[in-house]
Amino acid sequence: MIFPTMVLMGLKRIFRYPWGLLMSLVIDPFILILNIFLFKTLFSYSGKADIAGYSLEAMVWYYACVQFIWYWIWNFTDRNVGQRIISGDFTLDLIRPVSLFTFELSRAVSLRLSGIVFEFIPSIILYSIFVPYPLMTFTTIFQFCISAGIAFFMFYAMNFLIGLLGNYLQNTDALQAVKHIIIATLGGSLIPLEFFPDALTNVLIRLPFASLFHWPLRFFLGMGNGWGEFLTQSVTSLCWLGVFLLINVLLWKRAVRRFAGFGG
Amino acid sequence: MKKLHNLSLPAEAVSLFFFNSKMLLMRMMQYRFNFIMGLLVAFGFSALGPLAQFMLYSNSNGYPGWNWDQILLFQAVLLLVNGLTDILFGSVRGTIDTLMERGEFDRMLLRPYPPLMMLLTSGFKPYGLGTVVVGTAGMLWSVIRIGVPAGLTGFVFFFIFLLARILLQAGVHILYCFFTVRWIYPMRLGEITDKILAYGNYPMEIYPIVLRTLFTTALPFAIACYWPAKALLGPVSWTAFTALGGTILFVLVTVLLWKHQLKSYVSGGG
Repeated sequence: MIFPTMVLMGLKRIFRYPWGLLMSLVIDPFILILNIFLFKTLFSYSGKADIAGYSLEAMVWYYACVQFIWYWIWNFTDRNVGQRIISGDFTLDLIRPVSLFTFELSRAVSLRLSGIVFEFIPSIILYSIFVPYPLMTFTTIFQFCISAGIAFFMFYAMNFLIGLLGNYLQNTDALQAVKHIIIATLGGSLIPLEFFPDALTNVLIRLPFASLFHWPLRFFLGMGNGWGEFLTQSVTSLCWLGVFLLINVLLWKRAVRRFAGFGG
Repeated sequence: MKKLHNLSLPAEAVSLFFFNSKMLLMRMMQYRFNFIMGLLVAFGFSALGPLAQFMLYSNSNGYPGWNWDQILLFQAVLLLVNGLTDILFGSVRGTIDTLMERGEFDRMLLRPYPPLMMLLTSGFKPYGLGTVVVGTAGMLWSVIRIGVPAGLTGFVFFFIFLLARILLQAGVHILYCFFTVRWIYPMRLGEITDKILAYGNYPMEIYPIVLRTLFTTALPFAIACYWPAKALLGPVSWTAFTALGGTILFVLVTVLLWKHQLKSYVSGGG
């Protein structure tokens, strides 16, 4: 039962900096207001009721939800693991009773628990007051929470994988940037995937990156095709998660064999 | 570095910037693969903004008062200014974050130059180069397509607004340093400043008249991209110059805040 204790320790560390936790209450209104102005202008100027299937409210909420998903999934695992390899601290991680994967997972869980409580919940209340979204129900929020939860583990597994690649690349900063580009374009955080040509959209929604943003967003916005699609997508996302975890295990075994530390 | 002391402070700042940049480049070249990949990735990042704009534009009628060529120019100018500010100040946040987290800020106070100067001159980030290249190429392409109706004056104003934009970014970073020294662990403060500055990433026509007036004058978000792009597209109104005044005032306020914070700074070490 060491994992909950580690999570609790992480939370204690985060709560030492209370100002940082309140930042989202400042950030979100800025995003909200900007998106309202932006999309109101685009919609009124185009004279259309919807753009690529998205109404004005849905577009405003789409970008709000992109932020919500970051509140659920964001962690520094790739940076943390990469820095441990560069600094040599990776040696210490190999002799600890808890694996580095579990240790970093506890840090990520702490970070996101605080994010959900202090960022996601206040933000969703704030948005609901200023721009009520008629299609939002308890079902859509529930489906969003489950899919965002899976997205958290998938993003964590991706980050851990990138961090481990530091054993081969030494510095993974550029690789972290590549990850952001891929997620932004192929995951749907930059622009809804429906805005791409249909043939491309059909490919993109089947890739693992769509599980990070596209599917949770669809469920949140009430654009999913019922529980059937939700269950299918959840299972698909879990399969992709399994693939990433398997790669992590294989790479970890190789990395440990390859790594050489000096000291004593 | 001895001869630096004979120069005036601004000249010393420039020399220090180049010295710090050279040192950083030497450090980065130790990880050549990462460095080259980082430069290439910057091109990819540069493409994201125009890609999103193109998708939005092609699925709607765009923004009032801006045709597609003008929006491309706007995006190119945005990339250019973002790239330039990234090259000059891209590492400032990381530097102050690390100093405060590790309790090493005291070292800054012992150095022969003012701490703010030390921080701002350590901001070099070479990855912005890719963005500048893409932005410049896009700007030249747009200028060739639509011309510069304002002629040579347009270019002069463009460079004045470009300098003001760089000054604005310096002010934003000074403000960031102020809050970081105050709070020690700023968490998502960088994100806040980015989100606020994002108001300048769109044509001002999307805002209601009250906000538009505010952003083009006293709260100078329009200096971020709108006025530089407008300067190339035609004669700019007098309100553009109030934005210049607003920028200078903002930077002065941030410097005063920084000085005030520095006086009340208490070291954690012994």
